[in-house]
Amino acid sequence: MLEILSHDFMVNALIGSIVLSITAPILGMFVVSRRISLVGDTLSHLAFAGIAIGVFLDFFPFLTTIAFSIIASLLLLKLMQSKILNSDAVLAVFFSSSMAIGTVLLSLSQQIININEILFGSLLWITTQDIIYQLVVGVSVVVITIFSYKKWFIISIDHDLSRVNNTNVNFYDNLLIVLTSILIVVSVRMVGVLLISSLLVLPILIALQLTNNFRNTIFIAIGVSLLCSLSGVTSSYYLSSHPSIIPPSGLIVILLSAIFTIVLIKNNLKIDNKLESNF
Amino acid sequence: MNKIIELEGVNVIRNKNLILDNISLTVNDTDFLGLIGPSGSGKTTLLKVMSGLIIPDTGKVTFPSKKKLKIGYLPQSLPSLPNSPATVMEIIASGFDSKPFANNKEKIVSIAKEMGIDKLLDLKITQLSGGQIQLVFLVRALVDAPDVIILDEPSSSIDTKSQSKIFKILSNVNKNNIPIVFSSHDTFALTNSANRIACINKKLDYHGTSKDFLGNKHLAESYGYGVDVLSHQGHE
Repeated sequence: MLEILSHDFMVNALIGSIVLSITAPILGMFVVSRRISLVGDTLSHLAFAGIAIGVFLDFFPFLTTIAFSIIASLLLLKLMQSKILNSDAVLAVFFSSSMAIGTVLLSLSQQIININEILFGSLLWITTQDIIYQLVVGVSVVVITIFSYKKWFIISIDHDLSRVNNTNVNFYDNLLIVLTSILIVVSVRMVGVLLISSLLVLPILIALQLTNNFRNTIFIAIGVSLLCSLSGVTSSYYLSSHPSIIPPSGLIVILLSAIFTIVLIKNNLKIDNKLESNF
Repeated sequence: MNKIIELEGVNVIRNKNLILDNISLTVNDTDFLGLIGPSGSGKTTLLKVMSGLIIPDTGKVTFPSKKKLKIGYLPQSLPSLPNSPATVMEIIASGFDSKPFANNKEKIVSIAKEMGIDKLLDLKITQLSGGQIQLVFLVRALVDAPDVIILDEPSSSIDTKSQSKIFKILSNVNKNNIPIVFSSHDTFALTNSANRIACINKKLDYHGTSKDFLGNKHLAESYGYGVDVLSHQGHE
């Protein structure tokens, strides 16, 4: 077990997975309870376009990605709120167009890029600088959530009630989407564009089956997420052998999906048994 | 008697339709004001204007007693929360401005007990019926000592026994000079609980005491047909 810690990239990956396991469910709770779970997917695709723009322009790639993702996510939210189109249609447009922009720009770029690593993440790709970014974003997410919890909670219940309680709904919505989008950008190297949204949504869906209050759902989701992420990263290390490297994101999401299926079946069996015993 | 909300010449236009037409109305601290009017007459819009949720296209809404009012609000369409893990306690507690939860728990339990929902506090909101959810959001509206209580059809999904309990509680709250404005189609609830009635049909057709309202002229004018008022056990 200690051998795994002798590699810097593995230490970085384990720290990164701990930070992501704490922060993703926190934001995921408010995303899921607002019934906009697909926003995570769209934001990760926007991050893909952002990475491609950064690589193509070769101008401070990380900052370009962050700037693009923030601007595009705010535009996405504005369109969803405007009711010009249904939310699912807006998400579909952003989802596909960002993927298209990303693919074209990466193909035009002079740099040699491994698209698989962007799409699925890689343990070898994580640097100490990435971990510093993740830690800064992680601490910000926790602190901002402590101050915004009550507002995000009531917004997730009802917009009118929030407004009557003097809550600036637009500000808190923007804050949530910008934080989610930044978290996705700093975590993409480890988990990849395609699977990162699962870390926002699946732990919450599992926790929803196991608890009966809002606050505990977040804590249980963090616990589940930690368990699956650390297991996924460790398994990825031991299961990978050159040249076939198994991305940890795949293993993490397989574990999360398996747990979700088990608790869902178990809960539904319980309900069925209750119904049968009532007749 | 202090003025709490003052509306002057309020017009609301949506999609080129005039929803509220030149409404001027004052809510005083002693008011238990019932709004009545046919469907689509603008009752919900008027309540939203009073709550600050809708800014009128022309006209003025002022709060003469305070810069910002603390409003206890119950919307007409209650939130649909199909997968929410939120408990009744968490939802009611969100009605408090910013005091620590420990100080609020006692107050929540006491009001919930009065409303008869104290046994529901630890349940998920998704486990409740429509009427129970309405009671939960009603408790939420009352819990943090609001300056004014605005309720959009507060008894629409509630059984008759609970209805009379609610209006009794609201009446006691109103005795402490907390004005209550509510809309209803239930003429009995309106005339029994409210001390003033406003009859809305885009315009303000009538505004006065419940007793004066019971001439069928006002109801007939608003609804467009004759309404008979029968005397029964001292009530009209």
